[in-house]
Amino acid sequence: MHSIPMSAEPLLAIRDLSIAFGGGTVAVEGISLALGRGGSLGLVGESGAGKSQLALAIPGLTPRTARRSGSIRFDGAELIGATPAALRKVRGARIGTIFQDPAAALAPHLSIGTQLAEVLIAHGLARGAAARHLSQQVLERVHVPDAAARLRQYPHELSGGLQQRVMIACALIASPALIIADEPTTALDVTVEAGIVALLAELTGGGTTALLLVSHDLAVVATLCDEVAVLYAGRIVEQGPARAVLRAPRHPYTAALATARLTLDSALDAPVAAIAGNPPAPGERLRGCAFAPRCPRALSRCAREAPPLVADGATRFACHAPLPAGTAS
Amino acid sequence: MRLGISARAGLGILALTVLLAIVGPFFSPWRVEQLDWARMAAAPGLAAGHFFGTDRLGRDLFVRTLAGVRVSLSIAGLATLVSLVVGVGYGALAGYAGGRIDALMMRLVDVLYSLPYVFFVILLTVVLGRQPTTVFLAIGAVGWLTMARVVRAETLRLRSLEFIEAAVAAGVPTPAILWRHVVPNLAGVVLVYATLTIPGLILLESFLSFLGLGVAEPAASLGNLLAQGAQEMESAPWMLLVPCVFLVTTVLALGFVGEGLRDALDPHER
Repeated sequence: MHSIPMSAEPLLAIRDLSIAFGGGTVAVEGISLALGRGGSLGLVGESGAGKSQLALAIPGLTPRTARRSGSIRFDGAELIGATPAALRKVRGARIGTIFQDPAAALAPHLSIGTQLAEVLIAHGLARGAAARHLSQQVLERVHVPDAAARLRQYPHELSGGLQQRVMIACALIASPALIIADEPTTALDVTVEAGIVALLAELTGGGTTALLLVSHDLAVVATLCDEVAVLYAGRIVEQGPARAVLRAPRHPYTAALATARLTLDSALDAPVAAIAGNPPAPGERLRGCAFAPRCPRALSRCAREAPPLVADGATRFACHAPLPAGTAS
Repeated sequence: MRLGISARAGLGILALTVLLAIVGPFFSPWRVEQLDWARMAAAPGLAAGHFFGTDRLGRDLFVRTLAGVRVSLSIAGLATLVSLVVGVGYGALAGYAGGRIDALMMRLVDVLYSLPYVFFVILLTVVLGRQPTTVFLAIGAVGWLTMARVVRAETLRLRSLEFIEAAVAAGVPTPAILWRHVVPNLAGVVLVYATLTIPGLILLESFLSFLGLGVAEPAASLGNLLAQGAQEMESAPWMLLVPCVFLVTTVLALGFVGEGLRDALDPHER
């Protein structure tokens, strides 16, 4: 449908993006990211780190009160400052969005078939019988059993896992170049989660659809993403190939995130390796590194000057006292 | 949806009243404006078919009261319909647009609210004359204001729900979001509020007609029947009591239905 531009510009290029709310609250600051066609990028961090705000800012879904500055280039077009009409054409058609809680994100009063067809109708792709046919096909693609009958059902008649599959189908139906998944498995049972992760891997693994995954679950990110960016207090503290970053983190925060996990084989009476302290409040701006007050490796200069993002091999990190390369956590 | 006992009773009484108002006149030999020179201010009885008696001019009160119920109910019903269409459209638009457009639209509502109402009705009566249409216009002009406020508040709540955001994220155009996602979810609130609006508007119509600003003689409405009855209160109490009973019954029945609908649609509000 779209011709591939001649330049080697990535599908999504975010440069120096900041999102601020009234009253001086800064959600994210100075973010630069790139995502190639068919690539996959994971955004990880604690609650409130700004990862959802960052992801939703791409198709312009941040609250009205938010002010965005910087640049978001998607498929060769600038999205910051784009007209509402232009943004609407991108949403759904070129960028599909999967929300955290499918029970809340599916309209309770419309049947599955109506909601799927709505996306097609909104972008003038199909209507009537053709839309119904495409809806059934996309439900089959996300492995919803008995797709034809499901089209007539309402969201509350489906299980949580099926609801999330329908949500994914809604995001997928117009064949977008990018899918943004905002914590797609957080609201689901653990048993269902594995199925959804496998589905996302299957759908984005083909190299035609790029995936931007927001998650606090490092295991999910490691499974689905080639690249990862770790956010802390609205800034990127470490980014690089997912495997390298998660296996051998350079930033103490990434290392702490990786250890603060419960696994099935951890002893029941072993203390959880929680990160001491709390992230700074959204309005709070620290002069130095935002993680310094909680950091076990903090030096005195960490409280004074914010570390810049520096590259070392494939990864980039912002730390005055990084962990040595090649240490497993 | 299950309605409580009182709501079902209210619904039954309302249905009976409307049925009586429509078919009742066929059982009486008298017409609304017909005078019975032989029996002026006659007490209720079966003689000569004046079931509810006659007024000072010998007009049959049974027929006139039922005509009054028809006029009052249809004015209130029509005005409620108008308030439904205008109020829902206006409120949903303001609530969904938000920001400056919302503020501007709601200030206009505030201004209309603060107009001296009776003065406005007198002006309207002077320009258009005393007829049911004038009353309808006067009531319709203010009936939608509260509806618009209620709908706007509900739309603000709906707008923050995730499925609306998901529709925006899917690129659904704004008019389609309003029509297919917002309006259907307003239905509960709107239905309840409309049911509770009708009795208020019946009372407003009666009030205007009682003051002589509403439906004019010889046409009958509950309000002007009450006004005439009040003048003969001591010598012929039935002239006041008959329209009174109908007004109270209708308003109470509608109130019960509205309350019942609210409880049935919103279990948190009990």
